[in-house]
Amino acid sequence: MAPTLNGGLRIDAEESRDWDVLRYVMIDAEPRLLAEHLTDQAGDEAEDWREYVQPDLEQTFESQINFVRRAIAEATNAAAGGPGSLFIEKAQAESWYGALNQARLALHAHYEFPEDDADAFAMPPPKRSAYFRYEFYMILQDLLLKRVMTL
Amino acid sequence: MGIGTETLTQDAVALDVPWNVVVHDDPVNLMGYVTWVFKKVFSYDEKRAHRHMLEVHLAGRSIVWSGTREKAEFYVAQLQSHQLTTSLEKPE
Repeated sequence: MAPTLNGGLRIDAEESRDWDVLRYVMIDAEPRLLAEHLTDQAGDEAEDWREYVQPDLEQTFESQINFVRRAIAEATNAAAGGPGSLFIEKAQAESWYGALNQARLALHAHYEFPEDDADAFAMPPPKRSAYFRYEFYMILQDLLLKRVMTL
Repeated sequence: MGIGTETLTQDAVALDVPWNVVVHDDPVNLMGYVTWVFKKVFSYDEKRAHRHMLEVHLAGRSIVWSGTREKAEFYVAQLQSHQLTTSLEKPE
């Protein structure tokens, strides 16, 4: 991964498996559950919120996932599934960040990773694999935040 | 007739009390992102946004905005669309 001259970010896939790792964002994210969870926390207005706001939240989260799905599909096709690059432009960074955040929120809800000093190798395989994805998404988010999403 | 007049006066006072927009801590959102969202949604400067982020992180919650119900609802929806756990609190 590297910053680009026009203020974006480039992700290089060295082999077909790298594209699979990126596709996990769509598998891990749970837009509907996230919208429900946020609505449940809305406080005194939760009942009205469920009816009037939750559908919009769901739509926002789904659109982030669909955007990332299309971007990965286009980059994978351009690389014929092999080595290649995916570019995230400044204007696209928020959708990417949102999709990655959805994936991390969902993974954390499932596995409740410790906040500090997690020993990934002591975790059972499904949780370990999820933890590595969680960390990878976080590194990508950190790069987007520091290099691309400047206000 | 006297009782009806008194009730109307109390309602008018209640409408003037500000509603709170409260952001709650969660273990996933990055601190830099929470600051970024406060800057973007409220146009807060770095210092004010950072102070609210730290309050969320250390105290578990921060009242990030107070005012009319309509605008508070708008801000809660905005913050939720950025995936921050946010609630709207009625005035006491």
